[in-house]
Amino acid sequence: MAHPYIRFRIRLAQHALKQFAASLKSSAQILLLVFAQVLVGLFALIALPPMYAASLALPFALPLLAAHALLMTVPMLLLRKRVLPQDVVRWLHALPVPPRVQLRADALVAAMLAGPLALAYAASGAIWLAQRPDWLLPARGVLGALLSFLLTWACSTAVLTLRARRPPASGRWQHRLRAAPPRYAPRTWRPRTLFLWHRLYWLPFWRAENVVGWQQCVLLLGALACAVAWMMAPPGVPRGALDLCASALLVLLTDRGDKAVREQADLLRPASAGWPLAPRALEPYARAFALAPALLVLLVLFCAGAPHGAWDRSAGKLYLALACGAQLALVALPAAGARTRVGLVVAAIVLLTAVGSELWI
Amino acid sequence: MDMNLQVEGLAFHFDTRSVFAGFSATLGPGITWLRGANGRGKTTLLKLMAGALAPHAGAIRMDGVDSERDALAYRSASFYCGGETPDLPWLTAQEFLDLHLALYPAAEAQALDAQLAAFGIRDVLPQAVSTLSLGQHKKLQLALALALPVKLLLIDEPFNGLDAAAMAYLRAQLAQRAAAPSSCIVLTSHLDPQLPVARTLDLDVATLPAQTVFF
Repeated sequence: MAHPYIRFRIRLAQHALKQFAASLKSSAQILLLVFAQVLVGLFALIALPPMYAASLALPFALPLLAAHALLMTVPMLLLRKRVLPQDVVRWLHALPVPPRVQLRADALVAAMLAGPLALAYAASGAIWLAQRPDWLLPARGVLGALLSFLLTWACSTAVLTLRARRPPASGRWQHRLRAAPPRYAPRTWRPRTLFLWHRLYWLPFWRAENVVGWQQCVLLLGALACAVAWMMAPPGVPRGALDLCASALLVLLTDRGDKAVREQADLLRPASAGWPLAPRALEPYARAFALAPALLVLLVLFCAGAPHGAWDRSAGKLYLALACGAQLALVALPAAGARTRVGLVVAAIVLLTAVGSELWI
Repeated sequence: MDMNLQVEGLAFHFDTRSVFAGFSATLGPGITWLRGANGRGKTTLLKLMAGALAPHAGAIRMDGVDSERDALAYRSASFYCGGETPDLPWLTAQEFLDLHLALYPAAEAQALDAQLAAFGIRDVLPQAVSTLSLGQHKKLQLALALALPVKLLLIDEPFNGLDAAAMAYLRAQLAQRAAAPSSCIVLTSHLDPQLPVARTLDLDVATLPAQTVFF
């Protein structure tokens, strides 16, 4: 019979996965409807890199296999906070569980998470074995895929182990080295609304386990790079692909930002209920600020496209109008179901990409 | 003029159970000791009195100011000090205090600094509130509560986690504040608070349906 700690960890992981699946249910239907072919293609290709790597000489094969395994670990890395929430990690530190049992629990949970990947490898591997391309060495290919999967499993176990052994202090972002002031002196500024927004809707996105600030930075840089590249049309990169990337990142930037603001507002509601502050005093400003990154991208896009006459034609004007309208709709629409939200995001990306493709015709 | 807090026909329930049904009480200046067994609704009543929870029926008025109709004016004059886990874990203690000073513009920084010094927690100002010990967190909340110029102070288990010196200081401060006719302090405690209590409100008796309690 398994150790109670192992049973607890497996139940915890099952619960987290069920919650994750439930949160994806509505949006997954729309994503499958729109991107089903792309997803099927990606699944078919999943075993290709390790099988191809296995056909190369060892010095080339090993880095490729390792890189693929690390890439496949990314979903586990993203799921780690769901599988091991911070309050559970703190509680686990106090339990008298032997390290060997902890490691077994981490390995079993990692195997549970990596299980679907094994199925995808098996299906994809079978397809490539049936196709039998010239470069494929069947036995080595299967071994390569197996090795890559085992590496992914080991990396996933390591991710969970590191998470479970994490020190309980959650304030690593705090100013550890700053000396305590001799007396309290308030650091507030005017206008008060800006100050409160900074404390309640800016700082939380950069601290503790919250990565929304960095996520938005990455999306913003990606959107800016794609927007400029789309307008500059560097040789060797299809303009259509840049159009798709720029449009998608533009919409996702606002969608993710607005979602984070709405979640933060929900989180604040119980604490702020007793404050002498109007219930909706800050949220509209916070939601409006979620538009700022996308507006910056649109400004850069406009400036980069203007010298090329991208906005002189009706397609250009329509693109700008649609882009602005989509951003406003995402922020201004009242809380809708996940399916409506994903529908709006997908429709905006598809429309913008379609109109964008007309810019250079 | 003496401070007056009226609770009239209060009804409140959670999804799973009813807490108050037709509860009424009138409180005046001084210290009110709110008693009751676990789960009787002491913390819920404090939150209702603070305006942090909305009653499903009935009304709460402080000197005629209704907690729902004039919510901002009501909340500006009241403060709920409770909870043993930080509500805003992403802030440092300094930022937590700054935020509350911005929310209560009439509060004075010097008064707050004096309270922090008295509780001996000036040195935690750069620390994240999530890393404070139970006692430090309690002291931070109490220092803020005692520095705010509010008429109604609601304190949930004020002595939990405090060291002996902090307990003695808190008792002296509460007794001093309670002497003012414009100040009402409601506190919960399972043990005798050892304070000059003006009245005791026992929820084991008072939460029976349609029960009216006058003190």
